[in-house]
Amino acid sequence: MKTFKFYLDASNYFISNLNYGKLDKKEREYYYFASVLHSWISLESYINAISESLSKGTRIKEHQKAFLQETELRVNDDGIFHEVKIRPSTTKKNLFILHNFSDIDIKKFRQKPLWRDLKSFEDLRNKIIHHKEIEDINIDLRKAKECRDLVKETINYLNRLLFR
Amino acid sequence: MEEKITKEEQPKLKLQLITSDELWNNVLRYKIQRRLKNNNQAVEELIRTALKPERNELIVTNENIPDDAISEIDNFRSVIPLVEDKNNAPLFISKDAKSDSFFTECHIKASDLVKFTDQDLSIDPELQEEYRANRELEPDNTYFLKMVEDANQGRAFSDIVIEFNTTYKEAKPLKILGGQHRDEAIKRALKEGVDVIHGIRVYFNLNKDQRAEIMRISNTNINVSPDLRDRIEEHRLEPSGMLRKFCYETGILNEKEDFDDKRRYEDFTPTVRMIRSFIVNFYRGKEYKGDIDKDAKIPYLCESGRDTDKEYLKIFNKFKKEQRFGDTDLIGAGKMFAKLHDAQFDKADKMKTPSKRAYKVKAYSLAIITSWSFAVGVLQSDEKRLKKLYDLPDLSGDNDPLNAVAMSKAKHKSDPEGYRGLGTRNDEKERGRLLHLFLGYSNAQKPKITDDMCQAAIDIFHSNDDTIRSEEKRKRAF
Repeated sequence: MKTFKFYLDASNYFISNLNYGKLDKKEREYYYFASVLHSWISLESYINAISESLSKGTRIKEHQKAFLQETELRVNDDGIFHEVKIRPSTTKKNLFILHNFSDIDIKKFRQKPLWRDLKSFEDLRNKIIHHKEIEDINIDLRKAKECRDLVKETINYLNRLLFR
Repeated sequence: MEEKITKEEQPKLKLQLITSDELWNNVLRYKIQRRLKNNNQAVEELIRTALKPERNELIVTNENIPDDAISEIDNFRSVIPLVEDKNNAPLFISKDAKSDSFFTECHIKASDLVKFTDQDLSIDPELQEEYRANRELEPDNTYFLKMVEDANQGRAFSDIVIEFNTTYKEAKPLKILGGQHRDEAIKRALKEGVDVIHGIRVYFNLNKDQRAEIMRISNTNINVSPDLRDRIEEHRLEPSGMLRKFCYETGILNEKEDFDDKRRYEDFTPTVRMIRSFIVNFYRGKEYKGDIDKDAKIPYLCESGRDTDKEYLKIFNKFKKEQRFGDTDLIGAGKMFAKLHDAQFDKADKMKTPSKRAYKVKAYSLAIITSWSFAVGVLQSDEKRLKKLYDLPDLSGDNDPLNAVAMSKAKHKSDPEGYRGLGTRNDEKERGRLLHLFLGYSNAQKPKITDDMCQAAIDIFHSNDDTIRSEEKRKRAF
């Protein structure tokens, strides 16, 4: 089963142990982008996995469970509750988890460099996925490593905080 | 040179005795009384006795030794052939102020030591003589084998800790409190003809508490399991043998069996810590107030290796007057646990997996025994769920009731790579997870423990634990 660990390994693979000397500039970029995207996938996979796990709790409220399972209860035009599929962002889910399942003060957390870096990584991810002609993105080895390290740090941080 | 010494040691005619008939008759009477071979031996022994220092010269001490200890020391000197005696050297008697006991450090030849030592001492010889206090010998242990090798080469061991006690197994009054492996090595070396002098430390007139304390300090090294220390402490408790009685009544131990001195897979016997934890958790569960299914309780694990666990002592003291853990619910739970273990043992034994050795004794994993007994305690107020949990061994059919394979597969996202599944560790997380497994099972429609149940138990525990932490944060904020 492919878990976040697999994607993190993949991210690592694309920036380690490669003979860059044999690659041209474009080929190197393929690797850097692949690494960054796998870093993000790893983070997303981890957040989704713990969301699913936390949603199994017997103490959480229905609306909390619904959010973790990416659904929402809405009242339709007939006045009846129905479940709607939602797609909250990874960073939003991250905050939701910290707020509802840890003793961390969210306001303080949002002032941390970790959060700022995560938001910039999200921004980079969005720029890659939602391509715009005017924005050309360059990723070098240093950036790719930063992204990988940030994901590692975030996962370790959440693990320490939630599952001690 | 060697020849000269030998010549000097040859007995020679040195004395022709002129004496009265009366004195000579006394010498002859002495010879008959002592069953000596000839007149020469009688005269020799009388001369030796005359040359022997006075008792007060045989004992040197700075302490005020009570009379009963003095008489024990005298008895010790007359029974045990010490090197000091042969050389007319005094014994220095010291006092251990911590345990308020008296001891001496002296020397003995291997052949004399082996004749008088007893490795099967009891902490409480008056009431529990048949229960051995020392751990089992580890004849295959590398360090022991090295010890034997050294002994065969004439190694002189020292500080073998002994109690001189003639109140039981009188022929073997040197009870080994610490150093049974050294004693065994000396025995084996003696069979090879190695008979050298060893140093011993001998205690006198010990009571049960002093004996347990000296055993504890004599066994304080990294190779001695805390389970042995627990067993020593358990033997010391008054009234004696309550925990063992509980185990006999429930079938956890067979009659005359004692707790193990360390956890092992083969020839498995539960340890003191396991059963103490069982009892404490039963009551923790029983006294629990709240909605356990929505909680993230951590079953308790009794301390081991030092003093007797305080939580266990509280319960022990409650039942002290009855001299047994006379609670029918607790005894019922114990019987059901014994049944669970038996079923697990038998069914796992039929499995074809290299892990079956561990699977067979899975019920006695500290995390499982603590969480199972907590669950049983809390479900005392819910007959239906309690019955379901008790029926697990029957409902599992041919499968092992704990489904060790399913447990081994269950894992949380945060678990390290090396995590080997539920019931393989005994930390707080593990105990909390397993409690939810048993609670979940007791409430489930399915007859057996399944993979999904194991996984859900892990998720529920962590989610509840985190939710509680977050709720507490909010409470603090307002």
